[in-house]
Amino acid sequence: MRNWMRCIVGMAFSAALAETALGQEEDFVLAAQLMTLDDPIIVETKRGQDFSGQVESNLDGTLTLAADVGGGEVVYSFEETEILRVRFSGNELKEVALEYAEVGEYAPALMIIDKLFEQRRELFSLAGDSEVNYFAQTIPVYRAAERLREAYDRIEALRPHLEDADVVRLLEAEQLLLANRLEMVAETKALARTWIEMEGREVRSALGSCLLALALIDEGRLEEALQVVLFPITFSRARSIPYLDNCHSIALDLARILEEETTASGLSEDFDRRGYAETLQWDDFSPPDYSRLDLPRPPS
Amino acid sequence: MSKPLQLGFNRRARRCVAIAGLCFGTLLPAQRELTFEALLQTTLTAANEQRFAEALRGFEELEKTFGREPEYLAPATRRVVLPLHAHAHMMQDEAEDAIPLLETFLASFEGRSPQESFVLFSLGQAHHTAGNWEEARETYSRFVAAYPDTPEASIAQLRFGETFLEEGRVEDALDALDNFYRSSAPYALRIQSRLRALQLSRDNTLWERAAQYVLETRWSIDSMPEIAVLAFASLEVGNFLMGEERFDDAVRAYSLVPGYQELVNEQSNRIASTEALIGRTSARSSGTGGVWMAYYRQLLNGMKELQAQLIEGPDYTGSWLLRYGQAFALAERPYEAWTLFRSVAEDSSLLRSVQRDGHYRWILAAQALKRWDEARTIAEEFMERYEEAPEAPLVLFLIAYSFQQDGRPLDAVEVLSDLLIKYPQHRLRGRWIFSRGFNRILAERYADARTDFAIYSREFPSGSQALNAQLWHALAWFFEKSYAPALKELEALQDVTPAEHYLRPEIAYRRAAVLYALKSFEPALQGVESYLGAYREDRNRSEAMVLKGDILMGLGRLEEAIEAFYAVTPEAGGLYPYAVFQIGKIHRALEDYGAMVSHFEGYLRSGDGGAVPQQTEALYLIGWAMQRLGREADVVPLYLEALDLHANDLEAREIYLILDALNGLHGKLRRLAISPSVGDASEAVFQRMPRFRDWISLKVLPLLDEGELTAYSRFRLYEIENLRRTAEGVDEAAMLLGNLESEVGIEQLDARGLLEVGKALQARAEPSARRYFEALLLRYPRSQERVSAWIGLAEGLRTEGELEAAAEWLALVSDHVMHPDAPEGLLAYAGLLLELGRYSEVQPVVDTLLRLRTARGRPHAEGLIILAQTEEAMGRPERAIPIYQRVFNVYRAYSDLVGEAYVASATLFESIGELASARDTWREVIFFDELTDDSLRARAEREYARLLELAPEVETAGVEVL
Repeated sequence: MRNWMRCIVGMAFSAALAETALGQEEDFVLAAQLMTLDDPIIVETKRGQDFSGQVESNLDGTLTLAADVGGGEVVYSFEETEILRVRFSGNELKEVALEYAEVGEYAPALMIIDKLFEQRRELFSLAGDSEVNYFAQTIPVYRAAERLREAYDRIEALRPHLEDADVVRLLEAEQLLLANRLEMVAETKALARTWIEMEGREVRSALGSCLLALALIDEGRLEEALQVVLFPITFSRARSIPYLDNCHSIALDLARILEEETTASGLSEDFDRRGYAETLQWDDFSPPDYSRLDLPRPPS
Repeated sequence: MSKPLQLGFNRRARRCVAIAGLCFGTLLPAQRELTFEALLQTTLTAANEQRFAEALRGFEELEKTFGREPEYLAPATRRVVLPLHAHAHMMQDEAEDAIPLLETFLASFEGRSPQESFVLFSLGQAHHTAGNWEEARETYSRFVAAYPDTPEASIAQLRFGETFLEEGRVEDALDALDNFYRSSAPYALRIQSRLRALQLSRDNTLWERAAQYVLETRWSIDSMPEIAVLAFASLEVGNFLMGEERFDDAVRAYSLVPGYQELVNEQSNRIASTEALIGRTSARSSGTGGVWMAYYRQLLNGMKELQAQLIEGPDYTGSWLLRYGQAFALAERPYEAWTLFRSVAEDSSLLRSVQRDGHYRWILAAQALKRWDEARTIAEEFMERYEEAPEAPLVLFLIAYSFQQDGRPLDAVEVLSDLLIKYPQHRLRGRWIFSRGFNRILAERYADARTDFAIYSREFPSGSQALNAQLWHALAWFFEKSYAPALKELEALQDVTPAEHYLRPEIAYRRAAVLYALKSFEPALQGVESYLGAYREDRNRSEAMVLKGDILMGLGRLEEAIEAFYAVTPEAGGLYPYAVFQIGKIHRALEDYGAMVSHFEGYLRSGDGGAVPQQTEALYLIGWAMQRLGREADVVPLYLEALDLHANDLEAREIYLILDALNGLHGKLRRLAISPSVGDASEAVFQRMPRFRDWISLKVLPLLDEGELTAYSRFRLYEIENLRRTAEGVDEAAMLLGNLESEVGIEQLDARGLLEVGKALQARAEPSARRYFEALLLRYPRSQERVSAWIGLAEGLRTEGELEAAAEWLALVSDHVMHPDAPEGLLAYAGLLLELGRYSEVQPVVDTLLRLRTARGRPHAEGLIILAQTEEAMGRPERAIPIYQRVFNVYRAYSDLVGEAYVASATLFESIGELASARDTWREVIFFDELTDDSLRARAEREYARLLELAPEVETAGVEVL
């Protein structure tokens, strides 16, 4: 990148950073680090050669780089099969972003992540799993910063490139939570149903059941909702399963509302035995709002 | 490779030479000479690398060659050699040989070695392995005393308990393990003791104790190093608890079981984790680390053994899921049962027979949830998937039962009929016939029902339902209001039913009811009193108490009747309001309106703040009685409040009556210039409106805005009804009714609303009309409007060409001839029978119609035309002609029908060669002044002219055509 351009970009970053709570010196360092993201990328070929340049395009399995050579510009084209790996500048910023996020400084964290994403998004197919996995890991930061729609779109962008089953699962959970927060009812229900189907009886998380049940309750389909939340409970055994306590709480409410006394009594005993009364929290989504159905509130 | 232990031997020792007489693996070739230091180092390395056989040979060689050497006897050497030597023996299953070494160590280095704790524990282990139970326990106790509050002490305690277990002292073992479980040891160890206890109970078939462990332990599967013992034990404990009919507990036991593959995978993961743990512990083992090593090794061996059994054993998943579901079903938790069985039915990884079983039980679970529609769908899926399954007939029966419970008895009859045809020899044939008869009763097909019960009695004279079939046969007469045969059969049945038989009270009660219906009040009273005296706990007691009140009313003993009705309490359910309203009826008959008001006011207060049944009816009657007392001004606020509170309640049936009453009151109060007694704004508005319909118009729109759609539909329907009464209001009424369909959902309409909207749709030939009629029949199966719904449904079916099905609905109308729509229904039925060629059935229907006063006039004429057409269709013109003549002679006001009858009559005369009569008939048409059909008159003129040529007129004075 030409120097004058760097200056402009640097000024723009500084202006953006001025809106954050960072100190002046920290601003400056970060702005300088961010500017390095515009450095050329390096392509390592399988034949052991390195090429440096700016990405022109990455289409149909061909990567095109433009490099400044002796005042002129040279364009290189690589078949994907020729490339061993791609290296980017600014890798140290990945950690910096996460550190910001950890202490609740979401604005600078997300500024870095966005910039990193822009730098690398075209090259995910060449960059290896760790790149995509890193961005998957940053989705909760967007959610924490209430940038829900962006997080949702980011997941959509990442999904085609994900291979690691655990990361896919993490993203699916995030997507479900985001769809629910964004009140995308049809998407929430569809994602939740897929989640439940994928899990089968070997339940590892009750998130899908919880969110599907909440959507059904909003539609007044209480019996169906009860059926949905009972599934993970029935197959949970004595395991700690994420969101099972929420499911259990919903099931107990619904059994009482539907006057299913024996089911309610069994669930209540189980609820107490598992100590949910002390531990139940609604951090990731709101508890069901029965008043919207004009139904009597379940007895406390 | 681990780093060999470095020991600080002096230089002199290093000079000692040994001749190794034994082969010492690759490290010690035979005949090779070694120094003491080298032999020791090699031996320790072998032990450290777990090559225990080599290590043992090295230790023996050291003992043999250097046993008396000071280097060997030096404390520094002994401190290292003794424990490792003992350990090598232990690892080679030579616990007895390890014991003296360990004891020597302890005697030599008490309080002076960091290895002491491990050595002491190992001594306990060695005695334990050697079967020296007392010594083992004594040693473990020493360990606990020496190292209290350490995690290793917990292991020693656990081992202490296990010695009893291995010694075969089951009770002592269980007590010791229980004590340990209750101790403050780490959860992972305590849970191991619990699993040992569980295993021991299971091995010794101590199921009650095993159940106690399963149910009372706080299991935390994520923290447990192994889970197979719990899975197996919970499965068996669940089976035990099912046998004990402790279904709630069985649910809890089964809930701890994973699926087979899940268990295999989880156990493999845990084995891998334990192996990794052993690897890590081994690398840094010293002192108490050895204790843990021993613990983990034993744990791992047990886990591997179980895993091998698990892999060799059968996949229990299917049978576990079925039992788990059944436990939920029997614990009356149908939602969970439904979940389980669906999961089985839809899991293609399970055996087909298991899936089939799950599918069958899924139907039952849906039925337990009273989801009849869904149950049928599931059952139909079953039939598609497993048509040839042995359960197929049972599933068909479940479909029929679902129809029955869903208020669709005719559909149930159809399924049962198919079932009886498809499986004529099935062992449950008797049950199916009985069930079909019962459904026919529900469908009010009493004659058919009697046929079924008669078949049952003939085919299964000793069947379990033989007396029941006779009872229902008699009741089918009763429901049909054929009381004489009902009484005859009940009395015959009473004679043959044993005194202690459970049907005796039922027969006695029914007999009294039939006598009452026959107006034989005295015998009925005797019968019901005898029943009430003899059967104090019978389920019909409340009905009988009500019956007694009715009988006393029939006898005119009204005060006693009131007393009898007062004896009926709210516990009698729906009979209680019946008794309350019967008392009101007596007050009304006695014209004691003040008592009537007080009675119903008392009833409304009796709800303890809650609503009593038929509240609006009571309010309406209070208002009615007040009017008789001249308290019209009090009635308006009462009725206005009743509308405010109940007009939106689908169950409130008297809203239209109240509106009618208010209509009357409005005019009367305005005429008399009386203001309602309470100065509420709503009453003032009511009073101010010049006309009642203005008040209705004012009220109706806000109800729509507020979403009180039931109330809105009722006000609107009332308005529509009034508009229809005037010629100029008919179009507006039709428009408002058309709007109502889109304004109010089907769920918010009451019976009248469903009927009116259904009819309006049908008039526009909308197929959706059927939904409204069906909803009416489902939600208000006993309502007055149902007869009109039958007619509506039949009309729809007829349009669709489903003539037989339409006739089935219309046949029902014959039993409800007093209904205002009965003439329409009977006419339609007669016409349909004619269309279907069921000629012999037409005459009785038309006769019924002709007996109806409400059908006088046009319906009678139409009925006669159908009858005449039937005769014509049967090729009997000579019988048809007089019927047509009756139409044009008697019903001359209906010119279109008269014209039709003339034409038919004239045509028939000509067809049988009675040309003169034909000619005269056409002449009558010409001179029929009321005829509005000019084309017909023209035709008559042509026909007359034609026939006049064929049969010229002659003088026939004094002779009438007829």
